[in-house]
Amino acid sequence: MFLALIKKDLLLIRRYVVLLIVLNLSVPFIMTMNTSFVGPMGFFITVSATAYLVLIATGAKEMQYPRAASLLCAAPYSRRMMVLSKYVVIFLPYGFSCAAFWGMSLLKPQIGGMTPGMAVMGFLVLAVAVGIYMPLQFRFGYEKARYLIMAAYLVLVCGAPMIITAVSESVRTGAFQAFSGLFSGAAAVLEGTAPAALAVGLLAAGVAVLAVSVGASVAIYERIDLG
Amino acid sequence: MNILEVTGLCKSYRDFALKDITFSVPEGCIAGFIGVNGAGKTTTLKSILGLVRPSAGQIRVFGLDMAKDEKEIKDRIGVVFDDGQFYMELTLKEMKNVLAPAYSSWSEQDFAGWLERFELSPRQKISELSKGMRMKFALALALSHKAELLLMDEPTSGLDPLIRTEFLHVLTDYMEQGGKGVLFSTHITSDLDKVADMLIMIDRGRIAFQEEKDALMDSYRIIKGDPAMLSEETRKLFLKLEENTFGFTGITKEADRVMKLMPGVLSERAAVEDIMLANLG
Repeated sequence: MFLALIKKDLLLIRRYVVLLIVLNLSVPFIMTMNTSFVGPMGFFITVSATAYLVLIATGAKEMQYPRAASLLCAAPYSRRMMVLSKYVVIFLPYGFSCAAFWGMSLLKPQIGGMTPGMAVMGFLVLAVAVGIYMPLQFRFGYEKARYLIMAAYLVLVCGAPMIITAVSESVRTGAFQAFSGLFSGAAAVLEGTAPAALAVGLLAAGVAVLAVSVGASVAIYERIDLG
Repeated sequence: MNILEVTGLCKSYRDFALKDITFSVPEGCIAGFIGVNGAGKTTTLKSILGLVRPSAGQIRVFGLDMAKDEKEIKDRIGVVFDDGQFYMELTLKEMKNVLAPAYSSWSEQDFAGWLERFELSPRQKISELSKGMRMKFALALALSHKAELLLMDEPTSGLDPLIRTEFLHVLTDYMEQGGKGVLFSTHITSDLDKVADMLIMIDRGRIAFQEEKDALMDSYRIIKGDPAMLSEETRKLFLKLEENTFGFTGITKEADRVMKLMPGVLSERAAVEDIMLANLG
């Protein structure tokens, strides 16, 4: 039953599958032309672009057929199931992105390899981004959510110089002195933690973020009147 | 036994509200849900299906509470919306594959039978279907999982008379299986003249009446006569009256009194549309 909903989204975005494959294979490769080491940054860029493409594609399809969700909800599909399937569809290509990056790095050593740490960190970054975006999309709809995210991005980009200046000034004047113990303590804990335990911790954090986001999205979608 | 019971249903929007909607559909009955555009038919049907969240009221289907047993109830309901509400770029088979796993009693055999009867190919894209073919596909989906109640929102609107007649034949065949019920919203009342057992009218968010069709149609009469025959007293007997220099046409629920007071007028059986128009607020 749940698989049918996932399959439905995959069918609707099937035209983008080739684009997804090309993107995952080409981005790390193209980056090697400009840098001697692609590394985790290249991986995060690939993963983010892939997730963004899937988000945009699935959102656009639901916007194109706004009343189709009513037909599914008039069937015995629960709204919780509908929400969950969206999250699964967005995370499905992540496994492919990891495998593609690993495969590409075997062919092109400049790409720098794929470590479990990168996979876990990528998952956490994605979980936070998707975790913020999805409840907004369920609350405001695809179009408005996209504008909100763009507005937030612009604020961040425009505000970044001010933030950096403020932080530098604070460091210079010793405003963070009071937190130095906390920072060094945290650093010591991280250094003393086994990489595997750290990875599990990051994975758990990602899952926790997603669980909260799914809960919020379900609560929002349950209250919405469908057209 | 009532297959559907709606009690005290309320739902408010900025410029429209459903107010205390109460009606029921007995087993073995095709109930026509009539009203002009914007009267609240679709909102009521969507409230029954939980697609819009009512602010008050109770919905019971097959004796079960929709608020508690939504999944079980929906498993036993077939739904047909006015334009199908499909993902248009999917093929019929792909759309069926999305919906079928949701139903515990889905029958591939029934579905194939309906497609054959409606001359639809599972490989066709939904976007390539005409409106009539889309509605047939919607009906095929609604009838392929042993549904005991069909909820249909304006299923015949925009269809040509031939397809509408075929549609109505399917409904009567469905009812012959026994133990079923249909709630059929429409503003094309001529369809209901043919198949409905009961009529429920909604007007400006309120239920105007719920009655058995034959009893309802027996209780209203169309009266035609010379305008000179109209007096202050007789005018009051009509729910709606149209006059011109050649004559008057009125609809009344007090035909006996009218005939007594106005001998010589012509009395005709009222159609569902006449009754609906007479009851508009």
